[in-house]
Amino acid sequence: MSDLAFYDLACRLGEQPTQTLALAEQHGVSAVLTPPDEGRHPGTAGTQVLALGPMTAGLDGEQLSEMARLQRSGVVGVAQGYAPWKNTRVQLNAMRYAKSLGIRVFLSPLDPVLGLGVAHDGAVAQRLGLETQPSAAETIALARDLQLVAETGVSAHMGRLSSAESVRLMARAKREGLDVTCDVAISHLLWDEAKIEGYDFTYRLQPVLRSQDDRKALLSGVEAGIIDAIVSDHSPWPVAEKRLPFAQAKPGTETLGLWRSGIERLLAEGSLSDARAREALNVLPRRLLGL
Amino acid sequence: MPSTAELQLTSDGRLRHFLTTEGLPASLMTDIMDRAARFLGDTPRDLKKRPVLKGKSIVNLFFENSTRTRTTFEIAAKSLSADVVNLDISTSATAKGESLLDTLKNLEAMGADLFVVRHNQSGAPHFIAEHCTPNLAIVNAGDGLHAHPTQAMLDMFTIRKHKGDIANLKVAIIGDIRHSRVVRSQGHALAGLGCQDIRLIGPGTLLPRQGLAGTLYDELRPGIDGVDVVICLRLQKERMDAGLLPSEQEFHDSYGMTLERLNWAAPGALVLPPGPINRGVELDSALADSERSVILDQVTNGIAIRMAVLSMVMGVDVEALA
Repeated sequence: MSDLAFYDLACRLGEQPTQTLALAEQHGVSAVLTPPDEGRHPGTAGTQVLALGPMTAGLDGEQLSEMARLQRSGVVGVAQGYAPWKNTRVQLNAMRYAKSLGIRVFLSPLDPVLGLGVAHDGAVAQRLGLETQPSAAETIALARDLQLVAETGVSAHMGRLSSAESVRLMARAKREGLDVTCDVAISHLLWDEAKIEGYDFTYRLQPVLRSQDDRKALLSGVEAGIIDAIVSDHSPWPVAEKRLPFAQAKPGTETLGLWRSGIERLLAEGSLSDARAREALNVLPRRLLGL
Repeated sequence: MPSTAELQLTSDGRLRHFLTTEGLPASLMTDIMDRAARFLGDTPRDLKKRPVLKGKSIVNLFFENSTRTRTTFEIAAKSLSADVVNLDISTSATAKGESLLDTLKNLEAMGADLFVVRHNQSGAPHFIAEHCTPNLAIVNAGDGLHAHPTQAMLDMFTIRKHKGDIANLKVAIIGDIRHSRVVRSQGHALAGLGCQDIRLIGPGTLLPRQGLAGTLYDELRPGIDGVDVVICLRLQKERMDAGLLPSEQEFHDSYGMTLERLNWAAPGALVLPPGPINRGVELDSALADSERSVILDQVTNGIAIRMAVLSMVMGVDVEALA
């Protein structure tokens, strides 16, 4: 595994891109794909930076973005992140328009209201008194997104899946021949809801860390090729936005430094095979990035 | 990261902070109640003052308004001769965008010995206890949906006084279980004191699916069948606006306690009403005003419990209270 170059489909550069890229280089990350709300960056000698463009103007969820221009400027695809759509018609039109341009859409399925919960709707969050987020927050949005993919025929990539039910939905979509791929964050393969004990704001993530069964289903999903890629979902927020009572902490955490040791742990445990890890960290992401 | 239960104890098992009843040894809960009993005088409204916290400074740090809870903490602290400062933070620093950590560092400079904290975020007192200087003690006066441990200890104290050993009792809690910090603390306290039969009763929208000690009931009658104690939680009006309940009247029809319905419980069952009561919602007036429901001694008991907790986290030996 030490020879493997990681092509990361989800990495935020944050307020100090140079520092993030130095970290990426140090940890053997050959290329990163940045989210649609971040500015473009030229990259470094060791780490290429590719970008997603917004699907709607300023991610307002209402006005289609100039996708053709974005495409000419070299974006890998368009995305809406977790910014809500004004309505499903706008989303349908955005996906239809992307299809006509042959540009891939990168979706992060999450119901904007059910997704407001800050922790998985399980025993840990109930005990800690945290506002909970059921798995349905993800699966309702994923099922809708997949139906819109079927409707429009657009090529789509579903980012950051977190639940067992999402793995089942993706398996079905692939069986039905939809042009979809998906990824999971390394954090969700390594950790589960137990991590939030003690209100540790490091583990305030979006999507939330779910149950041990969900984590196992995600690992099996990667192993079975239902989940195509593993991403870092690195989110280097300023300390002032993170070191807060759990629910107020900004979701996301710094993960670039742990992908290799994390994957090695999963290989050693036998929950991931070497061949699938190489596919998910290198081969498939390189293909989606056009590298 | 340490759990809240671990964070509040010293290495030799004493109370360093008071953040939750979860994982709190039964011996410590008994100490709190026994100590509170020492502060009670001969008549129901009489409290014995003890100057054991003279020279100590206690700050009531309320990020969420609560006149009643703050007042009982204030009276408790003054009855122990501590100096008390009340800070209503909701209208000052954090409203200007200052982070909780910044606020904490500024307040630490005041040289207080103990913060009594109420905050609308679950885990905020835990966060403060984790980041404050080592010589500062934190007492949780209610955090988000997580815990209200002094209220729970007050309820345990009242139940023990009227019904004896909690381990032998069947206890039902009715109402908004899902959004109640009080019920979480009551559940942990009851379970910790050995109660084997805890029942949580309410409609599906107000019940959690898992994570709380107790058996869930969505019907009142089987829920309170044969119980020794019925605790009625306060129903917040916001629950109707949030689409969780159709109306207060419908809640009362299905889950409201009346003298008649109390016959489903064990003979002589005790009712703990919420403070304050919405008459005709959680329970009707006839029951609220009957001798089956304990209201008035809750106020004095509440101060005594808080005196016990404040003196324990400040390391006052029980002998000093004699």
